Amino acid sequence: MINEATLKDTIRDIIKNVIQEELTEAGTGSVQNQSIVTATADNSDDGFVEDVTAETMQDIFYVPNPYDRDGYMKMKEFTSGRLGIWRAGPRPLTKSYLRFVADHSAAQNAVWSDVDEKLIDDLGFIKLSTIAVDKAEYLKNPNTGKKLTDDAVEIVKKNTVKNLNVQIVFADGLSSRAIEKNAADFLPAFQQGLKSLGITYSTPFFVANGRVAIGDEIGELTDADVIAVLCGERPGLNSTGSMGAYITYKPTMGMEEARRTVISNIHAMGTAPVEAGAQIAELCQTMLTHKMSGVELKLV
Amino acid sequence: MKLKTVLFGRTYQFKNVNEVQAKASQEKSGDQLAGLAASSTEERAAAKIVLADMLLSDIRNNPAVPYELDDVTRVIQDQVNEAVYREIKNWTVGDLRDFMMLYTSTGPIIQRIATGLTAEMIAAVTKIMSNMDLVYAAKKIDNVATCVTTIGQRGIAANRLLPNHQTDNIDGIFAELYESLAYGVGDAMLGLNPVQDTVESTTFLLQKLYDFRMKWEIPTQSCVLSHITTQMAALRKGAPLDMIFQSIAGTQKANESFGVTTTMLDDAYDLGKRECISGGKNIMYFETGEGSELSCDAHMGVDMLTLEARTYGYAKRYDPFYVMSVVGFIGPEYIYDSVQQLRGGLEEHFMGTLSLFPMGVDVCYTNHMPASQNDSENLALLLALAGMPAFVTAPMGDDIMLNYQLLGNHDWQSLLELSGMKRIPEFEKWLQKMEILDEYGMFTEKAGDASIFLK
Repeated sequence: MINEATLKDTIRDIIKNVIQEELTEAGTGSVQNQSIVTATADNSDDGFVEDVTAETMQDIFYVPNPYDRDGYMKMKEFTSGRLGIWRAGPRPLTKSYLRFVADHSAAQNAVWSDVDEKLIDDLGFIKLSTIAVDKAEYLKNPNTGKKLTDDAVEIVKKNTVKNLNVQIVFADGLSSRAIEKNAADFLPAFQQGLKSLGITYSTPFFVANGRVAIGDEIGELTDADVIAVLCGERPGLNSTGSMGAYITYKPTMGMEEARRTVISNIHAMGTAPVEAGAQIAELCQTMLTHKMSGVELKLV
Repeated sequence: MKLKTVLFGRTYQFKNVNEVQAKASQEKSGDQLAGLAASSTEERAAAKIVLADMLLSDIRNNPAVPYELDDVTRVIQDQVNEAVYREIKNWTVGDLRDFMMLYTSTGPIIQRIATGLTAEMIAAVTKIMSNMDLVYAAKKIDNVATCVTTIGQRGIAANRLLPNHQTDNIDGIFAELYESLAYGVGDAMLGLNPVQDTVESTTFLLQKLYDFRMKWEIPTQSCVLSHITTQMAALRKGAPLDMIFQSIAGTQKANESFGVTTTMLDDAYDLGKRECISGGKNIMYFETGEGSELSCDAHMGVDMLTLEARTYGYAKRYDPFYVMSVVGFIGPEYIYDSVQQLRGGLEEHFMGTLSLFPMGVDVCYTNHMPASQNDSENLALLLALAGMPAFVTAPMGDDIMLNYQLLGNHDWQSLLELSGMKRIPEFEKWLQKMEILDEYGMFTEKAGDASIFLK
């Protein structure tokens, strides 16, 4: 229980922190948006509130009077965790809290939104649907994201190219943003790589509400040698648009997960999409040579 | 045994105890995914009514998975105190609930009765309790255990710091660790989930944590959560382990898919009692989670809550320092949203408490669950009110390696202030010596400055 003395200490602490913070900010000359109080009309526009997502976690630092500022900043370089964010009493500062709210909203939106139709059209993807009726069913029952609708099966059959080396499949997985952020850079690099290695490929499919294993059904339908599924990964607060590549030689429905070769973390801050495209093209060549993928291929 | 009832003129007939248990369980997406859940709220109510009327002996005699097929069942059945069981075997599940609510049923009296219960009985009574019932009953019971320091005493709540890093970078790990200590977190343990599961890496990380603790004289314990076989190999080579960790589940088949057998756990327990540097009498640490059996196709037609209770019954064999369930970690296909997360957290804390060891819940969610930090804060407040002895937090609630959101370091001091609970006394004194806390256990102006550890 809080007694009076403690309460006074706490209040003193808060006031001190506020003053110190203002001094710190003034001292480091950080650019702040001025909130000017003027008696203008309701529709006046005094410019932007600062973009809280502009700074990286490594740059953010709110501790007002640290024992070792340089050491702290050095320490922060080694982790993307939310360090040096300070507090108001025991609670997070408003700006740290709202940054979290913003990052979490982006992570959730990455899951719950659909990939922009315009992007799908621009990249010339053939669009397919799974039997998941909506996102809620898709999340509650992952199996619904691993099975194409009857219409989609027909579309795949109609667009199947005989004796094809690589069938490319994009799926939103758990992050539509991952596809939106990376597909346009990844695809030309991947296709260029395949072409230069003399590997055949055809128009990519895009599967809405699709999980990794949707590639297995497409594999059975098309009989392509290799299926490359590019799928949105589960978003974290610091990486909402990370794409994973799951490449399999002659996949079959219900096969062991160990048959997939996985390259994860494809995004601007991880493995760059262009680089991943070239790397995965070479991987396809290795699979075509050895006629295998996954753990088995590792042992070769 | 009665397996049917009439509700509003409609007859509800169930096939067996497992069906009653599954359909009486509060709605969870995992039970729906497995095709075990009640198909309507009326059917769920009917199942609860049938379950409440069932005798404890009916449940004992019909374990969720047959004794002959499953060693989790064997462990649970064989450790029942038969004298206490004989006393209560003709109680109904409803009688057990009412008994726990009585003013005369104090903690020690409930703990004695709990020695005569099987996991399935604990699961059954949980299903006919409301959220406040779960908080009220759990609050009565103190399960105390000792590793380096002692956890679970009345009015004491401890917290694990979680310094995970995507590449096990030692500087990154220690940055997170300093940050959490600066917020007064770490008395339950310094507990790291490593990325690399090798003996060399585990030994290296354990040694670093140990050296740091010795240098700063921190009264706590540490754990590197690699596979049990890795930890045993490290321990045999002289690595400084305070305790041995393993993820476990509620069926033999699920444990096998984790690469774990009872013989292996028995060996680890014996080895730990001889070699763990903590010298504590409680040297095992387990993590669990509803849905883990279903995710490896080993649920044997049993609902998630019953399997979770069985996991605790299994853990009890090893007198753990504490057990922690990761309630929202396994995904929305098992625990869908904040309603299910909140219910699951309260159920798990109660069931672990009735399994007679200190029980913690990692209050958390993944970003593909419809849940937010507000929901976690709600559950944390309720668990603090329930007297939960073990929490876990990370800087601003973000685990950058496992990519999920748990409670934040700031929440810890706030929860202690709000609930009136205290840290483990030795650790609180150490924080006062470090001038992170004042004499009342409140933050000083140094709290939150991780660079004090750069001395």
